[in-house]
Amino acid sequence: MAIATACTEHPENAMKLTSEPPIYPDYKGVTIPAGIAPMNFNIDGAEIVDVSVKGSIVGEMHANGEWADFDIEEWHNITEQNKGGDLVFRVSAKNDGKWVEYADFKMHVSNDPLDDYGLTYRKLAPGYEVFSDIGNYQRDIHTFDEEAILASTAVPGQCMSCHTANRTNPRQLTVHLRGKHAATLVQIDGKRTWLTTKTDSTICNCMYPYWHPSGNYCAYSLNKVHQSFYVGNKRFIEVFDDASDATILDVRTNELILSPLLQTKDCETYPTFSADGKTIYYCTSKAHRVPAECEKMRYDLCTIDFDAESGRVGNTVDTILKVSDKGHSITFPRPSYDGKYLMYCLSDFGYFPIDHKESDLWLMDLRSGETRAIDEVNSEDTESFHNWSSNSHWFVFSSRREDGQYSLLYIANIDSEGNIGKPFVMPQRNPREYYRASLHSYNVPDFTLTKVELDARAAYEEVFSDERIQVGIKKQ
Amino acid sequence: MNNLFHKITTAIFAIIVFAFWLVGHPEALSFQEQYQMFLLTKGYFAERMAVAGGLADYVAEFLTQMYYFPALGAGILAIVITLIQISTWTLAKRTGGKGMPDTHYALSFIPAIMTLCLMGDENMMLEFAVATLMVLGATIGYTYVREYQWAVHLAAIPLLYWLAGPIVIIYIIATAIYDIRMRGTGKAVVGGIALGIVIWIATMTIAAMTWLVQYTPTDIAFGINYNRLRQVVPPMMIATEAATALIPLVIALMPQMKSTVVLTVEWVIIAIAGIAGVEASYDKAKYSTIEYDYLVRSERWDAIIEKAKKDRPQNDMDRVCINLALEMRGELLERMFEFNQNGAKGLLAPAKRDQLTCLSTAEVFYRLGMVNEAQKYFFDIQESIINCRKSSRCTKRIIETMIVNGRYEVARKYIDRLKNTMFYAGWAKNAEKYLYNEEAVNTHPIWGRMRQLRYKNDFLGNYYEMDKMLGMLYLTNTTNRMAFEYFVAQNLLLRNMKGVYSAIPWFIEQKYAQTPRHIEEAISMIWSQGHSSFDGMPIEVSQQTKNDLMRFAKIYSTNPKDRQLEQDNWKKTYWHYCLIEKPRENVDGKSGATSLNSDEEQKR
Repeated sequence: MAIATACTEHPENAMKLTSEPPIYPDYKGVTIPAGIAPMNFNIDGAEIVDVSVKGSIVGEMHANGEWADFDIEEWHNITEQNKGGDLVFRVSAKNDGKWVEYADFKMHVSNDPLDDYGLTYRKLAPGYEVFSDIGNYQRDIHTFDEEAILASTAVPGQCMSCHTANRTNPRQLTVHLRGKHAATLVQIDGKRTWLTTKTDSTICNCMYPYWHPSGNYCAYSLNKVHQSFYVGNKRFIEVFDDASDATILDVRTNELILSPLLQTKDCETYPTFSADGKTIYYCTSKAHRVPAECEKMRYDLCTIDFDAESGRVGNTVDTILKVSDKGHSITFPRPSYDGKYLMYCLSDFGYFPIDHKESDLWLMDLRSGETRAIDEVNSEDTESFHNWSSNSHWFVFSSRREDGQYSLLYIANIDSEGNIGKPFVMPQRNPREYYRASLHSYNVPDFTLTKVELDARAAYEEVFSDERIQVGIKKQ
Repeated sequence: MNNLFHKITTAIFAIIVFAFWLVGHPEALSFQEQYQMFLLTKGYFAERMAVAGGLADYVAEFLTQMYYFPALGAGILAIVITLIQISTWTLAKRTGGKGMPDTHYALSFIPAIMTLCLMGDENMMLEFAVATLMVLGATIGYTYVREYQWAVHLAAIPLLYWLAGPIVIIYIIATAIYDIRMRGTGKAVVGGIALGIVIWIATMTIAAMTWLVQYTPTDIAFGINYNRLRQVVPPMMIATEAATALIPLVIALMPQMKSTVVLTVEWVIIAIAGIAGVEASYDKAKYSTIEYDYLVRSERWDAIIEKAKKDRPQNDMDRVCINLALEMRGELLERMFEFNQNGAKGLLAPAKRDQLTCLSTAEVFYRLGMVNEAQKYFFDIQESIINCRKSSRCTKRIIETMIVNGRYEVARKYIDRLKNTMFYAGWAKNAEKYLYNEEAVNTHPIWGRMRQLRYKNDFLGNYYEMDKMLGMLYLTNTTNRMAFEYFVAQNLLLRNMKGVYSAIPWFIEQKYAQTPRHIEEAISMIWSQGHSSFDGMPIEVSQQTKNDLMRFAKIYSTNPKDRQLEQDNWKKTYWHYCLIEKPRENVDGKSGATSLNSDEEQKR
C-alpha cells in the first residue's frame, strides 16, 4: 500500500454523510477487469483521504494519503479474487481539519478477462493546424507505465498518424508519416518497409488503415483532407474531404488493389474488414462542394465482398445502414473480432466526428441487424474513436466529456449477453494531477495484445534516408 | 594593481552586457520569455530532468522567466556571461600554475563574448550558457582533486552529461589539458584521459540505447535543448565550446608581457572583434521584427509608429504591428499608406506554422473581437514553438478567449498551469474568479466587450474572404469601429473598390468628426471614375483632397511612370498604392481550408 509519508492520519469522529464521495474520476459503479491498474482517485479539496476496500467475495485493502493511491499488487489480488463480484469502497476525507465519512460506493469486477498488454494511442495537443509534440504511445493497462512507440522527438518535423496493429496484434503494424519525408510504414515481424503509396491511379497517400485478419492485406482510405474553422461558439473545426476513395494494400507484393466500386465520384472512407475477412465495411457519402456544403456530407454504411484467396473485391455494394436521409452520418465502423457486433459513430454530418459534440457511439448486432445508441457510455459531449480488445469483451473509446476540448480514453465492458457496463477513464497514479496537467488529447486508441516493438532509432534513419518502395497497382 | 584592473575590466564588461540587453535588445528578452512557461511543480522538474542537459535547462528556464522584468533579465544575463569570463580566467590560472603571467586577462573574455554572439541566434537557449558555467565549475573543481582523479571522471562525466548535456566535452578536454600541464604525461595521466574518453563515449551510447531512444543521434551528441531547432548545430556553438575548452590553455601558455603597447593592442583587438562579432550576430531585420512584436505586447503604440517612421517595415508582420498601432491611435484610415503597405497580409496575416509571424495578427483578432480566430492563432503559435515548450503569453490569451466563450473547464485547466508560474500566477488567480460567473464576465471591461463583439452566427471562416468576415463582424455589433476600419482597410489593400464603396452607409453610421484621409482618397477616386465633377458625392470630402486628386490624375494620365509620383506627398496616398504599386496577391476563389495531406502529396 502506498501511503504518502506526510499523511498517515486516520479518521476520527468522522461525521457520516448519506451522499457518495465526490471522487475524481467518477469511478462509482464502473465495471472493471481484474488486473487493471489501480483505480486511484482524488477528492478535490480533501487534505487526507482514507479508503477501505472490501471485496464482495473476499479480501480487503486500505489506502490513506493525499489521494486514494492503491498498492498495485494488493489491488491486482483483490480484483482477481472478486471476479464477478463487487469492490465496496468506504471513503473518509478530512476537510478543514474535520473528518467526514461518505456513503459506500461500488465497482463491479467483470468475469471477462482483459489480458491484453495495454493500449496504444496517439497523443497530441487538441489544436487546430499545428501539433508540436505528437507521438504514438503505449500504456500497460495493468500498471501506470507508459512509453513512446514513436515520438516526434525521434522523427523531428514529421507529423504521424496512429499506429494500427492487426486485431490488436502488433506483430503487424502500419503508420503513416506526413511532412517532408512522408511515407507509410508497414512492419511485419520486425521487418520495416517504407512505402510511397501515392500512385498515378490514386488521389493521395494511404490513410486510415485496417488489417485483414489473414495479415496479407491492409485496407486504407485515400482522403484529400482539409479543415476549416468556425467563427462562432458552437463548433471549432470541420475536417472534410475534397475527395476520397478506398483501397487495399497487398502487403506481400506492395500492390494496391483498386476497385471502381471503391473509387467512385462519391466519397468512400474508413474501410474495415469483417471478423472473417470476407466483407469490407466502409462509409460513403455523395460528394458536395466543400467547405461551403460540408454540412451536406453524410455517410452511410456499406459493404462489399472481399475474397482473400484471389485478392478480389466483389461486384456489388450493399448499403446496410442508411442514415444520410435521416440527417445523420456514420463513421469509424469497427467490427468486433468475435463477429457479433459492429460499433460506429453517429453524428449529424461529416466524417470526422471528433469535433462534433453530438457524436455518439452506436452498436449494431451483426446477427440480428439491430442497432442502438450505446447510452451506457455516451455523454453530452463527443464520443469518437473506438476499438475492441482482442477478446471483444472490452472496448476503448475517446470522449471529450471531461471539458469539451481534450479527448480522454475510456474503457467499457460488454458481456456475453451484450450488457454494457459503465465506462471508466484510463487510470492514472494521481488522476487529478495527471489529467489537469496534461495538455494532450488521446487519439485513435486501440488495445495491444503485447508490447509494441518499433526501433525508433532505425525508423529515424530510414525516414530521413527517403528510401521508399513505390507501391504498384493491381487493377480489377 | 593587476587584480584591481581585472576587477574593473570585468565590472565594465558586466555593465556593457547589462546595457546591451536592457537598452539594446529588451525585445530579445521578451522574445525568450514568451516562448516558455516555467512551472514551479515537481512534475515540471521531473520532465526537464528526464533528458540529458536537464538541470541546465531547468536552471536556464528558471532564469529566463525573470526576463518578464527586462532589468532583471538583463542583470541575470550580465551575471551569467560575466561568470563565464571569470571562470575562464580562474581555470586559466589553475592550468597555468603559480608562475602564470597575469597580463593576458583580455583573452579570458573570448568565450564570454562568443557566448554573447551565439545568443544572437534567437533560437539559442540560455541553457547553453548555464551548461557552460556548470562544466567550467566542475573543471575548476577537478583541479583541486589531488588523487583518484579517475574516480572523479567516473562520476563526473556521466553526471555532467545528464545535468549539463554534451557540453561535458569541455570538461573532458580542459581536465586533460590540466592533467598534462600539471601532472605530466605519465601512465596515470594518459590512462585517466583515456578513461575519461571511454566514459564519455559509453555514457552517450548507453543514453542513446536507453533513456534517449526517442531522440536523434544529433540530439545525443550535440544537445537536446541548447537550440530550439534541435536538429541544427550552429558552427558558432561548436566554436564557442572549443574556445571555452582551449582558451585557458592559450592564456596559460602566453609569455609574460611587459609592453603596455602590446597589451593595449590585445585589449583593443578583443574589444573590436567583440563588437564586430556581436554586431554581426544580431540580425537587424529579424530583431526589428521581434521589437515590433515586443512593442505590441507592451502596447506601446506611439513607439511603434515612431519606429515605423525610422525603420521601413520589412515584412507583413511589421505591417500588421504598425497598422494595429495606427488603429489603436485612431489613425489607421488616416495614415496607413504612409507606411509602405503591401497587400492585405500586412493587415491580418494568414495562419502560418511559425512561432512569431502570426503573434501580432492574433493580437489584432483579439482586439477585433474575433474570439475564435484569436484563440486558433494563439493556440497554433504556442504549438509552433519549435522546442515544444508552452507560452505563458499565449496561454493567457487562450484563457481569455475560453472565458469569453464560456468554456470554463478548459480555461480552468490552463489557469491551473499559470497558477504554477512565478509572474502570471496573480493574473491566473484573478481570472479564476470569473469562471462560471457569467455576470462578472459580462461586466468585465475587456471580456464583456468581446462577448458583445463576437460573432453571433456560426459559419466556417475563410481567411481569403476576410473582408466579408470583417463586414459580418461589424454587422454583429455596429459599435465595433475597429471592425469597420479593418473592413475598409482590408478592401483598400485589396484594391476592392466595390467593397470600399459599400462601406459608405457604415461610415455615415460611425459619425466621424472628420472624414479619414484614405477614405476621402478612395471615395473621391471611385467617384471621379464615373462622374465629371465632385458634386453629389455620398460623403464629405475636403477641397484639399479633391485638388490633390485632380493634380495626381493629371500627372498619372500624362505619364503613369512620372517621377513626380514617387515624391513623398504622392507616395503616402491611397492613389499611389492603388494605381502605381503592383498588386502582389490574388485570393479569388481560395477556400481558406487547410490541406492536411503531406507537402509532397500537395505538390503532386
